[in-house]
Amino acid sequence: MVTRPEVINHPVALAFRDPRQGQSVAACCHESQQHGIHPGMPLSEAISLCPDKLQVYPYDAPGDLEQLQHLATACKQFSPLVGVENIGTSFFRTGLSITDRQPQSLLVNITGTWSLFGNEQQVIRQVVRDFHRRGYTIHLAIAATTGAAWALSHFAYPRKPLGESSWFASFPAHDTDHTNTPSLAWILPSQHTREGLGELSPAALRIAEKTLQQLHQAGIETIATLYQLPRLSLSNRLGELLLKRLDQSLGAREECLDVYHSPTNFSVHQHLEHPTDNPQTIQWLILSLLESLAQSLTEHGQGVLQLDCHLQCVSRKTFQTSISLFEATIDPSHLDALLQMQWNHSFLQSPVQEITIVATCTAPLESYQRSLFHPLETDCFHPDSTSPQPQQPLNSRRLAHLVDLLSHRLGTGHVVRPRLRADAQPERAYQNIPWVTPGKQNRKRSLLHKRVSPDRTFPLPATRPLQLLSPPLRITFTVESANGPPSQFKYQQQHYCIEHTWGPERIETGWWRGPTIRRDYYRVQTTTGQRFWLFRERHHHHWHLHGIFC
Amino acid sequence: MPRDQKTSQNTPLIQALRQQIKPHTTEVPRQEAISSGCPGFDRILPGGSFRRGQLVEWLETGPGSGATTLALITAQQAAQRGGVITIMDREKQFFPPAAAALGMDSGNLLIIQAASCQDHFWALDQALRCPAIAAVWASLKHIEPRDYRRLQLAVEQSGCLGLFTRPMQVRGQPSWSQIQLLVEPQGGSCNRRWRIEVMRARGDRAGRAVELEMDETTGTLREPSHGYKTDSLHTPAQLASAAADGHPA
Repeated sequence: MVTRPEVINHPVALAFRDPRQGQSVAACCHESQQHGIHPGMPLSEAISLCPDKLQVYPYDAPGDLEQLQHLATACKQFSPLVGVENIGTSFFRTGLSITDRQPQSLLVNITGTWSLFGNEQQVIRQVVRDFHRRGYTIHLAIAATTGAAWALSHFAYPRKPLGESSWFASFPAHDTDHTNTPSLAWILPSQHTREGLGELSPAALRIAEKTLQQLHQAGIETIATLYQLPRLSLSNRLGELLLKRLDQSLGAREECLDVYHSPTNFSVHQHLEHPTDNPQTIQWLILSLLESLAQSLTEHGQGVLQLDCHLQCVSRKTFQTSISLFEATIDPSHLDALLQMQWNHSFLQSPVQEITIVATCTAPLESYQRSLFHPLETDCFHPDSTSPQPQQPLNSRRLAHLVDLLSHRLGTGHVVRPRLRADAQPERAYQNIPWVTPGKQNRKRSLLHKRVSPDRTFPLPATRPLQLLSPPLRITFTVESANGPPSQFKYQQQHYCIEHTWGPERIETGWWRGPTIRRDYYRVQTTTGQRFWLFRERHHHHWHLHGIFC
Repeated sequence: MPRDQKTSQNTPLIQALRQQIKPHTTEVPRQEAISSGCPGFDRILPGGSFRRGQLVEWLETGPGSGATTLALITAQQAAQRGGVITIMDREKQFFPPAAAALGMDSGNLLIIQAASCQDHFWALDQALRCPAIAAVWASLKHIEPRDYRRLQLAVEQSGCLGLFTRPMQVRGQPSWSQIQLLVEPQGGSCNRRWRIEVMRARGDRAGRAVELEMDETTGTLREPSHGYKTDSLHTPAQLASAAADGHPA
């Protein structure tokens, strides 16, 4: 809603594909809930409840997490210790929707920092104001423990004041024009943690759904009831996690906060006092910037996977180029060579005054242990070497360099590897995948180490041709045969007499695959020993040459 | 050899001449041997095998002759000890399932589909220069001798194996390949069969030939048996008669 203000005050649902029930609702707004829509509901049902108005968008889990991390970084103004909640293997929220499997809360340790804002209520006002400015309404709680604060913020609503022990405030968000839902905030003094939590449901303890059901069956509806039960019995019957969470919420057991550290921004910048359009000077500057970037990356054990280079000219025009790599590297000369392949210096119509290089995607560098007996500097294959692969680390880097060079000159779509599919239709029996995918670590560690083992799930060697004509070539035949393929056909101005045939191998596709394909394939061998792959269309009996056993 | 001739080889003049010639000659270190996978085929090859750092030309007599199949079987042998196989597929007609059926790991294939002739040659040169590549296959119809020499130097430096399928028309033309093989498919048999003749072998004599056939089940090469039994697999009838005689087939 922050990025799409037009959907405010309209029912909105985020959809995801559930493996069991298909398209389902991942999350929905208050307006949708008023129509009876709830998370986990099949999308078709949700649309039927609100047929004309419901706006559906795909649920973007990585984007959600990224935005939460961005907010965590923003919260560093309130305390240096900010963390994103750690979701374990068990889901501890009620209403198990897909969003419950994603972190949704920020944890801020304000011990020692609240006094800088005056008091705790002032902290709350500052935080709420900051989030309203960003377009968010929030539920916020200050308590003595992480568990208590989490419980209040998630389960205190709609029971707004928790007895007389807590402080509660509501902050309308009308001024932001984003939503009418107010932000809610609670403060639970440390001496009242026990009684404040006691009024809440056991679900506020972040325990597994199964444990919650067991508690419900036993008639335990509040945390206060748990205080009166023997601990040993609780642990034996309901698991250790329940006691651990209870103790953490009450402050009897430590709970660590995983502080979120925003990724380091690897960028280098050079402002030229005297702008220049000399290609050699620019190249030298880029290389020196890449060297300093490599130094900074080395300190963090990172390598570049994707790099952006911006040249700002005196005319205020900016030229940008981006390179993606096969594997993380910090080799400045290699990066420089790839950048030079992208640049065409003729475009520089005015002198360059600023150069910025940013490593937009990084990955941990692989470290290789140097061999005592086979130094990496050796350049040639060792004849009659008995050791398996003494130069694999070096060769791995060389392969990465080769793939980078080829992909940048020819384009990533022209440097590919096949992925085979179990599909009878020859055109769909494989898919070419680029070796370099931007922003991803593409290298397969075992690529150069692997010994090849034939995969016998594929057709026999003699049954498929190495050359597949696309599209199939319609052939003319000079002598017809009553059954099977023609006994003579013409291809490239040459007549071929067929001596042996194998087939038919019938390949048909289903109606759900678009235009139906119904072909009878024949492998044929000519009198001169040449082999071809022919098929006859079963619709209109035309003959085509589809492959050559070259 | 007469004694006076033997001693004349060690004269200072000969030694000096040798020293003068040495910088102009390319001394290629003996590289790792690569078997073709078939002893009969190995026998006709110079030195008894292919070697890394070699360019091998496979002359095909026409479409469907099987020269590429043989080249890729050799590439597969070269990749047995690791390394990537590069396929120069400018026409975008390479069919990977057929290569997988020959036993090649599809994840280990680097397929280069250059758009222009210039890019195609540049990519071929780069691939041949890379020691991480076990073998490079390309179909070369025409190549300038100077460019060919460049490829030969690249492959010698990297230790890669260059396998080029070429049309029959280039036979007799100057070539920088170490081995040139003529592949003639043989009709009259249900199994795929070829006659392979060494047309050129650097440092060895040419003219040796062998007849090979492919095992249609495993994709390996073997010498054809000219007896009645042409299939390596026993038929149920043969197994039954062997069992009746009391000894295994």
